[in-house]
Amino acid sequence: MSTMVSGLQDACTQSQQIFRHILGAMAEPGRTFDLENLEAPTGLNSAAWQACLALADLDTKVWIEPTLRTDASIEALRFHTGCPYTEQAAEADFAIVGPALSTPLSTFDQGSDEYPDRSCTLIVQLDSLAHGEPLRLEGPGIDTERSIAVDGIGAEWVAQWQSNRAAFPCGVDLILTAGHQLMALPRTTRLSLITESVSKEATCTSQ
Amino acid sequence: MSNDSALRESSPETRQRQRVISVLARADTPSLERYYSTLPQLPEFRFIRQPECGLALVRGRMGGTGDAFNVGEMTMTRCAVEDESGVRGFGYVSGRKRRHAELAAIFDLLLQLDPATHEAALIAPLEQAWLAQRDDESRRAAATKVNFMTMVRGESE
Repeated sequence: MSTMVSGLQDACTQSQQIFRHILGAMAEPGRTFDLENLEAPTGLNSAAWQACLALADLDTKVWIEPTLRTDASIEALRFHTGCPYTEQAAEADFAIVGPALSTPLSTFDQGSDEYPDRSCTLIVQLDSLAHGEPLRLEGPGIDTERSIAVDGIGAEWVAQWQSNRAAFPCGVDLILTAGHQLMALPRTTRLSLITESVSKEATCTSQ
Repeated sequence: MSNDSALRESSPETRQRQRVISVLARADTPSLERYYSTLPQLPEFRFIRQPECGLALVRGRMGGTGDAFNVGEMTMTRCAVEDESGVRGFGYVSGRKRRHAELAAIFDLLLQLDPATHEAALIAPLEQAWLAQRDDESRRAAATKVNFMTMVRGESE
């Protein structure tokens, strides 16, 4: 028998605080939010675990990518949230994935034109929300544009994200997590690579 | 699920655990508190689920055998603790008695660590007290029983 993580000490207040951070993150795509440093089960980072604690319940199916899946994390999820765990990525309401895109974004529930809100929300576990390829974000919640550089989110993500946007109002939303930090990319956000030449140009003109 | 129900019916350990949890849930908080104060020392444990109140849907069967229907919802409080080796104690009690749920979870843990001692000192007396109380209530209720008899009017013959 393995030991279990404690979960939230004050479930009512803490889950509302986490929810408020996620709400803020969705409203301001690309902005980083710091959560508490809560102990997470093996396989999950703290922010992903807290997002699950705040969002998952008896009515939401959760799926974890095979490479991240551990008995401890599934047991802890079921114990603390009561959520049903699913083996099928396509039927998940919340999916916890890594940066490798081993399951394409189009596999997940895209919602329907009548109920686009019923699509899957992906919780992406990354090593860092910095030190990645520079990306430009545009869209609702962003004044002109914002740039991010998230470790593991590169060209392949940008390509799949464009198809995700093309299906609007359907499509998945992303919650990017690293350590106890999170950032959201809702389906309304446009994502593009800031290429080397452009950034050089920008540097030249600024001088 | 079918696996679970098979286990529930077959394993004596499971039946014993259900009995313990049921006795602890029916006990009154002061008697649990009294036993708690007599314990020399508690093993190291931590809460994996703080005592929390909620609602549980109670289902029943008409006459005990008919189709299942929803009786209604009742308030419940639950709590879970775990010791250092990963042994877990659970407390599920009716109403909003956080301390009761907490003590029930702690004692469920203790009963797994040292069944003999706590069975004799805690569970057996509590179970006796509960059976005696139920028996007393049944007697008092039975004394007021009214038998309804139908007079045969003999219309058919």
